Order: sequence, then structure tokens, then C-alpha cells
Amino acid sequence: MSFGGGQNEYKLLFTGPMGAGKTTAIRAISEIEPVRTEAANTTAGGGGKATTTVGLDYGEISLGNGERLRLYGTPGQDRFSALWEILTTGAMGVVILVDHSDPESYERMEHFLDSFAGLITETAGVIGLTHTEDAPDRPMDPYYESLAQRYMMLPVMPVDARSSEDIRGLLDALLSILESRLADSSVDSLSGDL
Amino acid sequence: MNNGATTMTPRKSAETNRVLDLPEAVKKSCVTKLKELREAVGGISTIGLVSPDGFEVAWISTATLPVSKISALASTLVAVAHSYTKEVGLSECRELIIDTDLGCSLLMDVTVDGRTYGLLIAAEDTALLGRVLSKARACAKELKDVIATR
Repeated sequence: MSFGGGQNEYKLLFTGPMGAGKTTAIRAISEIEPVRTEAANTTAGGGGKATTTVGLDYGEISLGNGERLRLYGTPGQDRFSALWEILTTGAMGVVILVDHSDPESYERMEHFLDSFAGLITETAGVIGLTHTEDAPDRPMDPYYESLAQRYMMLPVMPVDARSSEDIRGLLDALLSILESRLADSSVDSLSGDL
Repeated sequence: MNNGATTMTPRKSAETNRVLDLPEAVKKSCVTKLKELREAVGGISTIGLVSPDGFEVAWISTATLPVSKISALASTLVAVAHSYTKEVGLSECRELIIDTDLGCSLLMDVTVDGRTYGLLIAAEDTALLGRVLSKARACAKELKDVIATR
């Protein structure tokens, strides 16, 4: 990947509701031991998971041309929204993960689309749906309808957050969008391979 | 690249019910300990105890502040400091001192049964840092004892 300007490291954001798989996804693909800031979860949210991210997750992944992606994961709860803004600074794009088996998954995706609308509009975004195997009959159409209502053309991809291949596929899609946008703006081209 | 000017605004509140909250009696005892600390040291404007995941447990302040936001940020700082000190080859962070022109803020680890609560203190520049530290450490120890009774 090359954006010109002499940069060789780029920042991508992973966000989404608590329990969607952000920490797991970064762990799945990071080539360094990820930085994690988890604390005991005192709520019923996130499927009753024992811990929750209260700071950030951080990992790194190399592209095929010697350039690197820095991966930042946000906390999922609204009360950490001040941190969302801090972590958004400098990001080239955002991966939104949503637990498809969550009965409120549609609303949760909308919430993150709206909360990160500025970043999505200025850069690029993709949606990763986790736990799709737990709700095979739950329709996908509402996700596309919500995106269409917001004039957002984001890929929606089922993924296993534990799967390096799946998460790299998400990043491939995100980088393709970025490449397309950069080509449109005649800035430079992306050439890296995940 | 995003320049940070974008405002991230949650569109609705979706916090979930607390399931591991401390009993009210324990919270009241914590407030009592915070009051004792404030009375023992001049210049303290805000004292709070926050849960590991950023909820306020006990809180005293002479100012009107966004308590939930500060509680979340306090837990973030404690967690990031823990991670940072481990990355640089130290053990887990016990205290964080933040100095500003208008005063200082302390964040202290209050770990009970593997759960790390955070004691946060904001003090005016007239406060004596050494005294604040000394009394706050004693308070943190007392808070551990109180929380352990839950």
C-alpha cells in the first residue's frame, strides 16, 4: 500500500458494540503480541463476558511491500465515546464488527454507523458480522436497508473474529475501497497484499 | 486521513444493567472513606472510586462535573497505565500522577480479588502533593478493606 508523502505506517480502527469480537479480531491477525486493556465486566452486556476493553487494543500487521498497518480497537460502550474520538484521529478507515446473533444487532450497527459517520464519510468502512452461525435465519436485509438510508455503500461480510483469513478479508475489502477513493482523487495507489 | 476534527457522538444511551455492582452499604462506606480523605487534606476538589469497567462507585466533588465520562476515562487511564508499564518491563502500575498548571490528579489502583477499581483524586495547585499521596495511599488501602466485605 502506498499513499505517498513518505508514510509507511497506517492506522485502522476496529469498533463495534461490546462482545462483537474486536479484541479477538485484532489478536487473530496481529503479528505482534497485542496490547490489551481489559477489565472485569460488571454489566450483563456483551453476552455476559467476563472482561471488557476499557482502553484500547493495539496490534500491527505488515503489508506485502514493507508497509505496516497499525490496528486500534476501541471500547464498545458509549461511556467511552471520548476515547472513540481520540482513537479516530489519523485513522485511514474503520472496521465495524457487530454480533449478528444479538437481537439488537441492526440497531447496534446503526448506532456505530451514526457515531462514526464522519470517519466513514472521510475515509472508508466495512461491516463484519460475527456469530452468524448462531442466527442462520436472521435476515441480512435490514443491514443493507440501514446503510442505504444513510447513503453509505459499505461491504457487509460474515466473519469469524477468530479467523485470521476472515479478518484479513475484511481488511482487503477496506483497502480496496481506500484504493478506489484514492484513485478517484488521483492521489496515489494501493499496492500492498495482506 | 482523518484529522481528528470529526465529532464522535453516541446517538443513544445503551448502557446495560449492572450485574456485579457493589452493595449500597459498601458504596456508602466508600463515600465515608472519601469524605475522610477530603477532610484530611486541603485542596482536594474531587474524589471518586470507579469500577474496573468505568462506572462510578462513590463520588465527592465541589464542582459540577460529567461524572460518568470522567469515571470511564479514569478506568481507561488505569488500564492503559497498567499495559504501558508492563510493556516497558515494569510491573503493573500502582499510581498515576498527572500534573497541570491548575493542579494535579492522582489515579490509584485499588485491586480487590483480581478486580482493579480506580481511586481518582483531583487537587488544586495549593494542595501539597506529598500529603495528598500519603493520605490517598492510606485511603486506597481502607477502600480495599471496605470493598472486600461485599
